[in-house]
Amino acid sequence: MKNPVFITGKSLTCSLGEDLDMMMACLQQKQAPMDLIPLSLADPATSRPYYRIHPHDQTVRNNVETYFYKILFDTVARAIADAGLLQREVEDLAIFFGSTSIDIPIYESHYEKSDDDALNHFSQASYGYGAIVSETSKHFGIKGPCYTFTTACTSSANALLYAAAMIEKGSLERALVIGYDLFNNTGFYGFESLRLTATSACKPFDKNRDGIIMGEACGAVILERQCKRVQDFRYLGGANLCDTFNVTTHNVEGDVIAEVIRQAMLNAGVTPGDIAAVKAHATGSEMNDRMEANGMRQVFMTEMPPVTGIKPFVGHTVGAAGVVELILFTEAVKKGFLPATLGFTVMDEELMITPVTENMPMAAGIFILNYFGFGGNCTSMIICNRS
Amino acid sequence: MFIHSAVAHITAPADVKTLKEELKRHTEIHFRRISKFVLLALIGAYSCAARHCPDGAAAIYLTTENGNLADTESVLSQIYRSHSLPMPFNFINTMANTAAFYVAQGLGLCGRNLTVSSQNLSFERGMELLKADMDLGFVKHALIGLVDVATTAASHFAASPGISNTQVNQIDRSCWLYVTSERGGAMGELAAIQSFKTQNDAVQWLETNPDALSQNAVISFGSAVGLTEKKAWLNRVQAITSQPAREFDYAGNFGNCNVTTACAVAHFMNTFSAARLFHINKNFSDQYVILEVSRC
Repeated sequence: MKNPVFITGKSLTCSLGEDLDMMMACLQQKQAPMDLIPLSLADPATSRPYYRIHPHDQTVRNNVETYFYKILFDTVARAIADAGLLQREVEDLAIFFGSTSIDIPIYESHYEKSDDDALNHFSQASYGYGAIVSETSKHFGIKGPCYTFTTACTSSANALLYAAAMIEKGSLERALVIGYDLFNNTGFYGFESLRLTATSACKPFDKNRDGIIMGEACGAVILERQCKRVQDFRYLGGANLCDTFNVTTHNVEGDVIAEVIRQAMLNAGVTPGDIAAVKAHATGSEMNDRMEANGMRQVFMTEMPPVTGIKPFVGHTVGAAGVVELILFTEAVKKGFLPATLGFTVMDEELMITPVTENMPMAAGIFILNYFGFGGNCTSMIICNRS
Repeated sequence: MFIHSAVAHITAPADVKTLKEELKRHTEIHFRRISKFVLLALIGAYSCAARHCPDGAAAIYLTTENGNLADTESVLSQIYRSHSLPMPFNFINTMANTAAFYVAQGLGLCGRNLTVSSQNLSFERGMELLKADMDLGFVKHALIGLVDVATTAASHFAASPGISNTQVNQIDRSCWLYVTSERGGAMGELAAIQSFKTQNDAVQWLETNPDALSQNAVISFGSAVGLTEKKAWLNRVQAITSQPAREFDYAGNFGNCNVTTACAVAHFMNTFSAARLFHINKNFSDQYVILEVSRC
């Protein structure tokens, strides 16, 4: 008998701000502010859109390390407060942290200032993958075990899967799950080197798609055995698998994607007919659109539930996407709607997928959330707010 | 959880060419554009798989303290020093999970695939995740390993004033176990993995295990456990069992840093004749994990 797992606290810092009500207003009004960032270190004449966080005081960005931890600690503090945890409950938390870049933003800022001689002697390119969570643990007086997941764009989705699994099997009472990726040049220039970045807009599943637009965000959720509010979403199950087709792309037929969705549904005890909607990974890249559409079609065949994508609102927040998109999706449903997929205008006949283009009334149901990433990672999770 | 194969590939810092030659001894597959970190992962995993062919549905848990340092270093240099876009495969390889991908691709393993870390306790936390998957029935077979490159070449330290090269005995390591839920044919059993918030909690747990500690058991320690603390632990074990406590100094040949739990378990399984191992490790917040391994 598995213990139930509920999402009892959440908070988010992203390009839409840090107030969830304001974020929902943006989703309802289809507002998605973006910045244009020049590739000044390599190609100053070229800029790319990016979904940046806009702190009230822009000067806090000057010290990257301080800024990095301020965003992280503020976000976690709000999630803890939202769940109403007592101090002893905070101490007992286990932390599951998912990120693609981990401490790269901090390390980059130090690297940029170092001279070559110092780099030759001491360069390590990382302060250790576990360092961020250790600092978080110390800051909040958390005494539970810490796990850092780095599985590219599925990082925080996998973090959530394992936090939930440990609660389900009784190893943990509650857990803090964090998805965090802050702007860094490694990622910004790296995705440009792969020619994956869009020049104007993110248009998932659209025939005229233009690629991905990256974003930075920090999301945190508290998972607990006990439901605290009627509206709390319940985690029902999930799965992850590796598609060994290619390190950067999945098999376009979508076989492994279909299998991971099936395994997630099996674990959750639901069938395709139970699914009210799918939050697709929906990056807006050619390959992602094709493999995800094919994978979903294998599972749902002609009975495709409504499909939406969140990235046109906040960008592809890479490893943070698991938690970030979970929060935006669940908050929208709590407000009674399935958010529209911005940017979609022209159906791609090869995909035959038309995501929701207008906000659709939807207040309850069983939902699938998909996440895919480099290194063959495929993760799907099933959540529910239907009693 | 039962150990069917255990390998510790531990060497002085090696270059990519040397590692490519080493990998050729294990597989004819030519992996293109892979880095030292990936090569180390492949060499360790292939060595482990050679002793017991993994099930095709096996999961992979790659644990690491620092991930792929060399490719991250290259990308930073390309961006900040050469003012160019990074080379695509250098960028892809900055994500440490690419190593777990290549292990899965090379060995044809399509199960769960994770790359995880936890300061100084990476392997232990990976074991906990594997245990959760096995307990819940998601995974029956798994390769679990710890891979880390030497953080920098010894020559750098030698040239650096104030730091003795002998104090920083850097090593590359790729240590892997093949673990299944089946006892048949196993060489060992992961009998327990216990996390503790304090040292006192860890001591109390050991005190509940006097019989296991007495049965031809040895104690090994993680790298954050200093000499004084080791002596205190051994004295405590002696008090519990009323017999001399034996330390398994798996780290002896490698200097006193950068050795890991995965190395201890693999070396214990392959080279040490005691019946049971208790490995005591901690992170820098003094949270402890004890791993108990017994021979089958």
